[in-house]
Amino acid sequence: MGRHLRSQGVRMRRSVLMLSLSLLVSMAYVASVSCGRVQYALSRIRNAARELLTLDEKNPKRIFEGEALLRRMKRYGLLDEGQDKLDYVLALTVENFLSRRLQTIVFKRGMAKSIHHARVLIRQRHIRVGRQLVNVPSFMVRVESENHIGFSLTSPFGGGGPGRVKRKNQKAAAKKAAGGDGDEEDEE
Amino acid sequence: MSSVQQSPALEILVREPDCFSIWAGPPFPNSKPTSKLEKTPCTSTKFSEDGSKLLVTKPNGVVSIYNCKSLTEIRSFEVPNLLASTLSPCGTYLQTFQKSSSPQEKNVMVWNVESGVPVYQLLQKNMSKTTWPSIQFSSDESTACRMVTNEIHFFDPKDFSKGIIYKLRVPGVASIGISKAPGSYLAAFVPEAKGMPASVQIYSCNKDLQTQPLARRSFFRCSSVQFHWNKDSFGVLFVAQSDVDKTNQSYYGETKLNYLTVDGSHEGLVSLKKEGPVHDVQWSISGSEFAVVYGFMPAKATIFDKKCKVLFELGEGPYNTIRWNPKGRLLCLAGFGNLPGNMAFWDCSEKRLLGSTKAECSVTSEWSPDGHYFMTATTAPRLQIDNCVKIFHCDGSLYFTKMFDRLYQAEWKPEAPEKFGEINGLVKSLGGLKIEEPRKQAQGSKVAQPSSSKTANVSAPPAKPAAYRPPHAKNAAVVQQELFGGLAASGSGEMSKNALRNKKRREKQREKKAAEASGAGENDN
Repeated sequence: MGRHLRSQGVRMRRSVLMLSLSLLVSMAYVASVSCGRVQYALSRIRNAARELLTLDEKNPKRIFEGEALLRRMKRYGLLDEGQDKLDYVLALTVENFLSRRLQTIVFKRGMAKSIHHARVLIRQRHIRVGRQLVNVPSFMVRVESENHIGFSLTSPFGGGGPGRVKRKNQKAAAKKAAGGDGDEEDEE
Repeated sequence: MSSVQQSPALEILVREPDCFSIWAGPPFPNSKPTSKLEKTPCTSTKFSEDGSKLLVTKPNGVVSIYNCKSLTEIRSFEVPNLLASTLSPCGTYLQTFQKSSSPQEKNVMVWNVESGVPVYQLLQKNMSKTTWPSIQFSSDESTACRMVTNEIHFFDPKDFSKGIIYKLRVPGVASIGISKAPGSYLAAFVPEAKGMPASVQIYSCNKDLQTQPLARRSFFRCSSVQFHWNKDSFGVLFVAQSDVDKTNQSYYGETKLNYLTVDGSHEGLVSLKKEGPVHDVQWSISGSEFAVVYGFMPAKATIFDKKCKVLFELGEGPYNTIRWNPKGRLLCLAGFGNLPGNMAFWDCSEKRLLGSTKAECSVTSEWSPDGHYFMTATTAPRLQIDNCVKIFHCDGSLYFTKMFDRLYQAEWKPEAPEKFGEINGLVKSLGGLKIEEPRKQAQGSKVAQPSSSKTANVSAPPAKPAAYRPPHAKNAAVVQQELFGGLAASGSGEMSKNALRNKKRREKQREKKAAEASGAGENDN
């Protein structure tokens, strides 16, 4: 089992090496494992689309599953409104998927100073999508939720109180101001 | 319909080096503007926002206020070391900024124009884009406020002697924007500081509700903000600009368009389909929709309603300016500045293109207050040659143009759009046009072919120079016609000598053959 997984990892890393250098540089934040994960998802989607395309045009399976696949792709913003044929699914790339991650979208919408800052913000529970706090940088953002990304209400960036470090510093400063003449209390 | 009421006349202010004059507006009798006020010396001029008063700065620090109805000077102020002056929107107050000679002297003064008496004075060390005018008014002068470090001070515009009525504490505030009409909200921008994101907050101007912001939006990567309030203060559009583009796509930095509503129904980015800077964003005069021009060139233009939903797309094209018609339905998309000056006139309620034309090298552009004319002007100091004023009809046809040696300023006298009637006559005449409906995905520049409109109103593009004809084309019939004129036309009468000879020979041969044939026939018989 372990050996199987490791060899799968090797296979993934080899295919990741095939990715263009420019893509890796621009998405340098993404660990190669994540890139590999996306490639795996993409290849499964492409296989499904390819298999559906071999079926007859009026085949109920093709119609039903094809529509479902296209609907999912559009929902996640991978395909535009005008692209409503299975052939467009075959033209998807890793870049399309990587640009729908919450980490890239937080950066692109100006909510973070850099792409690494975006990852830190997400992981440190500052970002919410709709009403839900999202802690996962690889969250695939749907098109309808894209406008509802903001700072979470409890985060200091979104209107909540000061964070842990600031509170601690404020406490220490208050203590110093109050008990400066007397003995210094033990500071945690 | 104000059929009983007289619509006010349009007026145009034209400022040349050292003097200004006012023309009685279009329509011009004899296609030449009549001058309402002859050349008067000045260094700068500015109308008040409602058009009732005109501020004229003369050399030696003299500021004169003219009443625009009678064009007479009502008051004149002597202000030594004057650096800047501005009128309040209704023309009631004049603010002046003087170079401060001593640290104690109050160098910003607010004068009451009617009485000529200074009503308020304060000290301000320096003047920058965000801190001048020091005291900002709303359009109806119901609110007046001033931004100082960490605080916003409110005054009573009716009575400045009360001083500061109340203060609003906003730590780190860098620029503010009062809502125009009604003036009951204030948007404040706090830039990034020490890891905290930049934020824009909306506060109410009413003292009792001032503890918490009504709405708030935080973001990173922004160094300055421009506010655009809506007409009925439903919400504020702000363009957040940053000097450095972290996505490495543009040398000029990046801009993002955000929309914040007062009731909190929309807080966030306006979703734009194309990447690139936001070139221009303008609310319509009614305040229920706004138009945005965005993206790397050729830019896309879209109209959104005030709930931030797409109303319709105006296609792509070399545009970077939007000018809404004051009567509300028409829109001019133009590409000025570093673009060649294409202008496209759209009717937004019917969603079609009225006409398009070009106005090269224009610096300023403005609709007339009644919405019938569109004036563009090429002014110094940006452009030192080809200074001119061009006036177009609202469908793009050129109406009037005048060249100047040097032109510094050309603008309409502002009037409330409600005073003028609707542009009904125009709509009727447009109904007769056969302009093809532009498809939503059509390129804006492609649709704007002048040949698609069938009236003579639309001005043709400048005449192409005569086509080059290669030597072998000189035998073409058209060229022959041009070259030989009448000679070729009466060709049957006069043929060349050779042609005549050949013709005779052929006829003779035909006769001979016919004779032989008949002779042979006879012989046979």
